Amino acid sequence: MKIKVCVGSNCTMMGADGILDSLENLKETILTKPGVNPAFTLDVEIVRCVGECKKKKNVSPVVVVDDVIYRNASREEIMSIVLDKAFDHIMTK
Amino acid sequence: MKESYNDIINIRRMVFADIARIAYDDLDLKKLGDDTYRLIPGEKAYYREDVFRERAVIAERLRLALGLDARTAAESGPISEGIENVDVDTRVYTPPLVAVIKIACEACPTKTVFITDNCRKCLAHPCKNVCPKNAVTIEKHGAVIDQAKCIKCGRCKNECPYHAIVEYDRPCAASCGVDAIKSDYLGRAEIDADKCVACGNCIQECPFGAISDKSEIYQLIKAIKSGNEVYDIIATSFAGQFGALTTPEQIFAGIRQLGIKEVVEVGLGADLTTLNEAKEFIEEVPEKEPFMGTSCCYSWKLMVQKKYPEVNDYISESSTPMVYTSHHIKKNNPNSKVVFIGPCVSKKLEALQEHVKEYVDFVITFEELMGMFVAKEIEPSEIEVEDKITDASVTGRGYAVGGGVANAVVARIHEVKPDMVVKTECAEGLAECVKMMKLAKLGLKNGMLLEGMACEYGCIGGPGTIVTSSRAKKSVADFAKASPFASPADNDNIDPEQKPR
Repeated sequence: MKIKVCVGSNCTMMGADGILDSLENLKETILTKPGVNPAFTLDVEIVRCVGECKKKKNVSPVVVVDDVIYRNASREEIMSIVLDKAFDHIMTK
Repeated sequence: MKESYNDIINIRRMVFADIARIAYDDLDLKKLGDDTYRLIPGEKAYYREDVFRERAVIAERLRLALGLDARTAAESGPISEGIENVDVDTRVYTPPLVAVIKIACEACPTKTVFITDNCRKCLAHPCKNVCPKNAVTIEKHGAVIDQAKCIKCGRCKNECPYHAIVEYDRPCAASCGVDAIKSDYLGRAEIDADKCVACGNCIQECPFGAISDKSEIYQLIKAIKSGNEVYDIIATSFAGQFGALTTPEQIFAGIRQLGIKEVVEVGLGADLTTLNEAKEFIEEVPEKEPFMGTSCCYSWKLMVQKKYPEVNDYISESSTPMVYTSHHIKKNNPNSKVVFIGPCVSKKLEALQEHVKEYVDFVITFEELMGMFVAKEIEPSEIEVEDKITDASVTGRGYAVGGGVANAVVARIHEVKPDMVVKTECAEGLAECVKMMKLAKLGLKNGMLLEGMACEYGCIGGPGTIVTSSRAKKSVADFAKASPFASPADNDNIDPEQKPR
């Protein structure tokens, strides 16, 4: 799974660092536990302004998960997307 | 910054960006009411029980951001009331700088031990058995504490096998190291101005966002727009605050794009503070003074002044890094204006004091600066810069992290007197500062260098910061390492005459 977190001015102001922190925290805690799908990988990339906020007002923070754009992203939303994928082999059964 | 309080932080920052936009675009302040609809659109409540209250609260936040006082429900008239008084390009706000927005305060109960519905009404009822005041009775649905009898010892809480008993204080009061939060006649929080040292911790901790400081972001922008030469002195904790990909050099360049003439690190002044404090310690301790306290954190100094006046003389006489840095600029540019940008609320108060106010014209926080970047659509991470910043030494830049000041002073003492043994103690958080000073007053810290920081983790944990302390700590360390000056004595930006011998 590839996550891009925008750290442009708008997104930093509206909490991009909080999202980065919660993803790092997941990597160090729940994702180290047994039961994670062995095929799952998490690659978090910090990116410059992706330009969403210039197209439309009030969309920050912006996070891109496997090429899907999440506007007004919240840490809980992004964390749950990550965990659903990391444990998908258990969930689907 | 309390990073898990997303919505509160975002509301606060949106207000700064909005006021900055109004100032830059020369919009009519009389139409400020429109902004409450822009910031809180629609008719569905998102933050509170109804949209009207959300708008009323944001209106008071906008007024505070302009430097006005927060009003109670009895006082609130039109949002633009008195607004002409702050539509200027010089400092106008007056204390109190930290205040409760009464219409946002939920009047949380003060310190209480109470039994939640997790109580199983068990047969053993240890809560009742261990209560030294016989305040617990077993009623129809479970145990109940008679609040009039309870002395909040917490014994019942510790005994309950179901964790059904909780003990809590209102978050503002729990976070206050100097016990300055009292209640008004409606049970809402009220700040005791005689005790408050403007550290800003309660601003960060209130889960309803009901405490705020005043801002002078509007007047600063007007000062820039009226053609003043405005210099920015930026606190040592700035590295890493404006996004994970923004370098310190890009932050400086971004600030210049706001119309600021030049930016100087407050680390330069920190180097002078280090040199002076080291000299003072060598000369005074322990012969003339039993111990010495550092002088850079204004809330710490104010706490000692107010609570321990009898030992106030043992706080170093050196000026703060902010004052030294501003001196440095005003000496060569007497007609310029200086804005201090930092993580700190108490610097706003320090800058109102005699002997400081003529040097520091404005004080804003990193959050407020971020609002200016957003208003002007500046992306610091995309600016190309080549020049390196070389205003401060390694240890001067280290002031931003708890323990950094003592570390700098001791390193300097050892340059002068290599064999001198200096014991230090660092207190982070105002409550810890109070404890340390209490012991110092009793003579238990004699011979020591005492560093006091009103914020946990030091300045990087300040109420006006943007990123988490752990992230900031790393950025500050990297930036310190990049300094060309190993010792403050090597800093060739400082006039040799200014350096103590």
